[in-house]
Amino acid sequence: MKPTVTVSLPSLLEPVTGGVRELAVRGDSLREVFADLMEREPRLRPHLFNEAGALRRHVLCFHNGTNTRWLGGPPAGGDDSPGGHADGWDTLVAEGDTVLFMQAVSGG
Amino acid sequence: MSVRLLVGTAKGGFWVTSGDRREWKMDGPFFKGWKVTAGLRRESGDFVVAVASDVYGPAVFLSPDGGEWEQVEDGPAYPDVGDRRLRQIWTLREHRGTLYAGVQDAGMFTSGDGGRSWQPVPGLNEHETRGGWMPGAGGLCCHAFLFDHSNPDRMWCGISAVGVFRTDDGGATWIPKNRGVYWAHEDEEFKEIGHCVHGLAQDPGDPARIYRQDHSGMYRSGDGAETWEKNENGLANSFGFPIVLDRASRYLFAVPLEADQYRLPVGGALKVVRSTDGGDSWQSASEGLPAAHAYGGVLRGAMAVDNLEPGGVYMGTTSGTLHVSRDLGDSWANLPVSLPRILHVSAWVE
Repeated sequence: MKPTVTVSLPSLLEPVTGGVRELAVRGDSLREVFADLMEREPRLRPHLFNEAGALRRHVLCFHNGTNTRWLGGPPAGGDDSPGGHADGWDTLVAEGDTVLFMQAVSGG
Repeated sequence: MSVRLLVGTAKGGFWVTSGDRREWKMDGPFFKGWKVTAGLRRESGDFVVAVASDVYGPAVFLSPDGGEWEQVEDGPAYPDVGDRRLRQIWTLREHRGTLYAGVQDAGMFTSGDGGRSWQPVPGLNEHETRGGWMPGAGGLCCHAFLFDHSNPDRMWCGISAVGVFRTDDGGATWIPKNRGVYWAHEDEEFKEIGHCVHGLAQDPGDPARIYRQDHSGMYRSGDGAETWEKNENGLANSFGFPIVLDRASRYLFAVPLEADQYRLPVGGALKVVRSTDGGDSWQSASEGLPAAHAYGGVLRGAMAVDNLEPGGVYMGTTSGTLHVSRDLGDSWANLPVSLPRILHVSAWVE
């Protein structure tokens, strides 16, 4: 059984999920966690990820409190953030880990 | 009989309703924190609303009653090629059972299943002149559609800072139709584009008679946009964004602004101009509007008519003020609200 991770969403996305702010998803890595999240809430996809599948420019994602853009690893591909980012999507996750999405101050 | 307004702002949507067009009730915000950029009430009565966020991007929502909303899963989207992005939906229309969305970055999408899935219109989105399309101050947006009720294969669209295009083959090919309109910027290669259309209106009885609020002034066409002529008799200022037409009276309404580096009501007085003779002449129809220290303009999607008799006219400003007329602009009331920047106003009779 893959680890269960708790994903928290900002209140601004409540209309997208029908009011759901927190989900339990499964995966061995952040990449698998994101894939399972999109499976459960496909309407979130255009709001969290860009056309290339990377995090949108002003969306922040924290794994256990660490910005995933600081985790290193190969780029998720097509990230339109300035300079590109190694998104750390292959970072392994463990049972009880947390993933938090929020908007960057750079969003205005 | 009652009138329902959808007022879309930079921070949410509001319903404004009235049974007599004198007393108004406001509900909202819904989609709190989101830009509400376009709205459509389908012939079925269902609502379609477009929202957008600078952080989370755009989306289309559907509702049978305006209360419970469901986001469309397969909304308008560009493929992952180049740097084209779907940033905002500027207009939603329905014609012959098909839904149309005009978007930024400029393009058109259609839906044949009531808005649940959307397909691009490659004849326009991949137009041969696309390399010369330049964004205006509001972005590179497709913001207006007109239809020919007597010819299902003919349709027009307006793209800001590019111009008016017409199709005569059901959307397969599109031809720029801007002869007689001044350039906003001249493209080195494509001389038929670079015309900054701001708003379009159409005579309901003669679809070839089209009215155009352009960056370079006020125009009309009597031949389906083959040629355009200026019609600014009575207009001290011909710059503006919206133009709307009341179906029964054929009266036209626009909001002149000081051009174009200012884009403010002239002299701090919010004014509406009206033409009662098909654009031959224009007169002020501003009784009751703020006459001093009013510096909010009216954006291209923020003016609407209800097509009752006499017609109601409604507009919201970038300052968040909301203004209603129940007598075709003879008099105006200023609703006691202070909303975020108003992006969109639609009016429906229930």
